[in-house]
Amino acid sequence: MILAIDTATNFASLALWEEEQLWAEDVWYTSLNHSVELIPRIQRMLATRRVAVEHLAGIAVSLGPGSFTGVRAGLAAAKGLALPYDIPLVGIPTLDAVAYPFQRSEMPVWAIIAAGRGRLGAACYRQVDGAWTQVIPSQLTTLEKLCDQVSSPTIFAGEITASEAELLRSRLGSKAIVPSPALRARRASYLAELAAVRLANHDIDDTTTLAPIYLQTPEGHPLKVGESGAGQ
Amino acid sequence: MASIFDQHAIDFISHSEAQTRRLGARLGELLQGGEVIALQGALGSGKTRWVQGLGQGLQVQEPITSPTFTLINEYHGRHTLYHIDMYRITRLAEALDLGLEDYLYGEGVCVIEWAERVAAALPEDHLWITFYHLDETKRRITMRATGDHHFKLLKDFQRLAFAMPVRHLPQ
Ligand SMILES: Nc1ncnc2c1ncn2[C@@H]1O[C@H](COP(=O)(O)OP(=O)(O)O)[C@@H](O)[C@H]1O
Ligand SMILES: [Mg+2]
Repeated sequence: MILAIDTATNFASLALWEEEQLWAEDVWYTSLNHSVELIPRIQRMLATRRVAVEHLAGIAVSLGPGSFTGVRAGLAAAKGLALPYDIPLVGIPTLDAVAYPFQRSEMPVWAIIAAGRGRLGAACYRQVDGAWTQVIPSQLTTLEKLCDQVSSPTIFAGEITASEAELLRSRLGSKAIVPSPALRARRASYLAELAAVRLANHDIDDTTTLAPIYLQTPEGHPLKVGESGAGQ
Repeated sequence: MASIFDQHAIDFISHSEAQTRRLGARLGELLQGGEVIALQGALGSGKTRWVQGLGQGLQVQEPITSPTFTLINEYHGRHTLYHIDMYRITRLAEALDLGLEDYLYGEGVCVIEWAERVAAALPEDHLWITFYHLDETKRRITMRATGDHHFKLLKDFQRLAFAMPVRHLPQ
C-alpha cells in the first residue's frame, strides 16, 4: 500500500492506495497549520485500514512548488515515516499531480496552485509525440499573464477560485476549458498513482536528500524574493 | 511627478503612549483580513504599542507581547493577526527560511516591526508606517499606502481617527 501526502498548499490531502484500489482519501483545507494537523490525520487513515507504517510499500510526497510551511511539513512527515522502516520514498512535483487526470487530453493543460494575493504557481503540460510532457516549467505568475500565453483551447486545472474561473472565461471565451471545482481539484490519490509507476520501476528518491521544489518567476527570481509583478 | 498615492500619505504627532495605542486600535477596527502593515522606527519609538492597539481593534483577547525572540506571534481576533518582528534578522534569506512569505501572502493580517529589513519580500500593496521619536512622550507617525486596498484603508482610518483631514506629507 502507498501512503500519499500532499500538503503543498492550504488545500491538503492524504490517500491510501493499492494497485487497482483506492482505500481512503482525506481532503481538507488548512490555514498554515499543516504540521499540527497532518500526523493525527495520517494515523487515523492508517488505523481505519489497520495498516502499520512498516507495512507500507511506499510513501509519496508532494514536493512543491507551494507554501513554504506546507511543503516542509509534508516532506518532514514523509521522511519521518520512511526513514525508520526504510520505506521507499517518492517525491512528486505538485503540479504533475494537478495535470495528471488530464494526461490523455489532446489539449494543453495549465496546472495551477495558489500562491496568495492573486499570485499563482503554474506549469503547462501537453502531449508531445505521444508522451505527456511538461512543456513550460513551473513559474510564479498571475492569471492575467497566463491568459496572454493562451492561443488555443486550453484546460485550466488545480486551485482556481470561482472569480478566477469567471475571469478565464471572460478573457478567453471558448479557449478556456475550466473543469468543475471537484474535477479540477488536486488530490493525493493522483500523487499515489504517479508514485506507483515510479516504484514499479524502482525509481525511488534518497530519503535523506530529497528536497522541496521552489517556484521561479520566468525571469528566474525565486518565489522568495516576492517581486513577482503580481497584483497589477 | 507625484503618484496618486502621495496624496494619501498622512502625518501626525502622538502625544502619549495611550494615544498611540488608541490610533492603532482605530486602524485595527478597520481591518478585513489580508492587510500587510509594515512598521519602521528606532527601538522605543512605539511600534509595539501601536500593534497592541491594533490587536485591541481586532478584538484579540490575549495580551500582545513583543515577538523579538519568537519572531512571529499569532493571535486570534476578528481575523488572525501575525505579529512579526524582524529585529534579529540581518538578511532577507533568514526571514524567508522561517516561511515569512506564507504569512505575507496568506489570509490573516500581518504587521511587521523592522519591516525595512524584509522590504523586498512585501506584497506590492501594503501600508508603511514610520515612527519618529521626538521627545520623551511625543512620536511623529507617518502612514503611506502603496496600493488600492491599503489606500482605501488609509482613507477610512483618516476619517475614523481624526474626523477631519490631516496635513498631507510634503512630497
Ligand atoms: N507617544 C508615544 N507613543 C508610543 N510610545 C510612547 C509614547 N511616549 C512614550 N512612549 C514610550 O515609548 C516606548 C515604546 O515602546 P515600544 O512600543 O515597545 O517601541 P518599539 O516596539 O518601537 O521598540 C514605551 O516605553 C512607551 O511607554
Ligand atoms: Mg517592538
